[in-house]
Amino acid sequence: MTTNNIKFHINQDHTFHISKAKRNERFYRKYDLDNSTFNEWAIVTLFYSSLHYVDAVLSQDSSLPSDLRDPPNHEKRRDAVLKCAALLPIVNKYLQLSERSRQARYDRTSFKEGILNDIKTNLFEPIQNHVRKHLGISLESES
Amino acid sequence: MPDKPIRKGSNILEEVEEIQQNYLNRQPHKKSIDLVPSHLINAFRIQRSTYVSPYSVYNIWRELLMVTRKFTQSEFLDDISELRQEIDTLKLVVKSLTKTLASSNKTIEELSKEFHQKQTIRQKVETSLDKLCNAYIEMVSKIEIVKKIYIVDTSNGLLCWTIVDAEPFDSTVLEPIYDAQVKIYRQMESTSALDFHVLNLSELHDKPELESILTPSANLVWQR
Repeated sequence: MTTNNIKFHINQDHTFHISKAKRNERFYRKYDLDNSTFNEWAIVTLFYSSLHYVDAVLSQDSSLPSDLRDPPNHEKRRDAVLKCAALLPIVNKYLQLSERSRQARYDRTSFKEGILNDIKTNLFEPIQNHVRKHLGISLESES
Repeated sequence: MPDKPIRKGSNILEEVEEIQQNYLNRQPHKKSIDLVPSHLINAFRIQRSTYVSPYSVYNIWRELLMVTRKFTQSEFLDDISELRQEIDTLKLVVKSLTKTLASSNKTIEELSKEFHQKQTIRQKVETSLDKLCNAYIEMVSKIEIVKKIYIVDTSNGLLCWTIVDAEPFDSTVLEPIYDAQVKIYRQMESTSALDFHVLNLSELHDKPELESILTPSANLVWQR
């Protein structure tokens, strides 16, 4: 593992966050999480990918104070997302996906087969598409 | 004098008087160590966590008697263990206050003022959180799938559980609930003191009782 994979708490630029988001997506595809028995980990992976998409936008929002542009924890990130005008259209989806990730890790929610489609289509992809559009990232630039 | 255990209601003054009386009645050549009952010596040793000779104990009691004679009996609590506990607690409080004073470089008055200010702010935050929770309940109680709302008072703030009964994993039916959360959060400068969780009963494995999932301190604040 190289230090490229470790997030330090210094102001990261949006390219760093986009690369982390894409890396999580590659992990998702490589291990075929769509068809995995461990679909709760598919949800966690999707959430952390969306987290980096969100962080990418936050890092570019100069109207935010520095602690919200590079939030050190989930609570600060929530504050930042709620204050960032560019993220308002997807804040509902982000909160839902964050809650799904929490449920996947801690709750007694039963993540049965076939449930990923709703989470991917209605929560993750709208966040992914919105941020990519906002930052001008085309799907062709997928690495 | 027979050995007696120190018990609730025993009277120190009477015991000391008795020791002193015994001493005076005895021959001068008698060793004073015989005059102190063993249960008192043991009590002293336990209290001081060290060895104390019977002779020293006798002298301590004698000095104590001289002092205590000047006071009326009503000044003394009968329950020795309670008194000791109170003294230990007071010692800890004084130690803590001394430490705070030394580290803060502030006077007692300044610290007291600061404490009252913090209390006032906390009360204001709590009132504000209560209002926000009520506004949230008002909004989500109109959503058909919402069945119950619980609030847990945690050390970090309030945790609000929204219990729904809806089609499993259909995020579109949950959207109005999250819209309500966004409205509440956007009224707050910092959201760290308020957390929302949503729990869909139809998504739970083995349909457990809510009581087994939520913490016992969860208060049911609304139900359909």
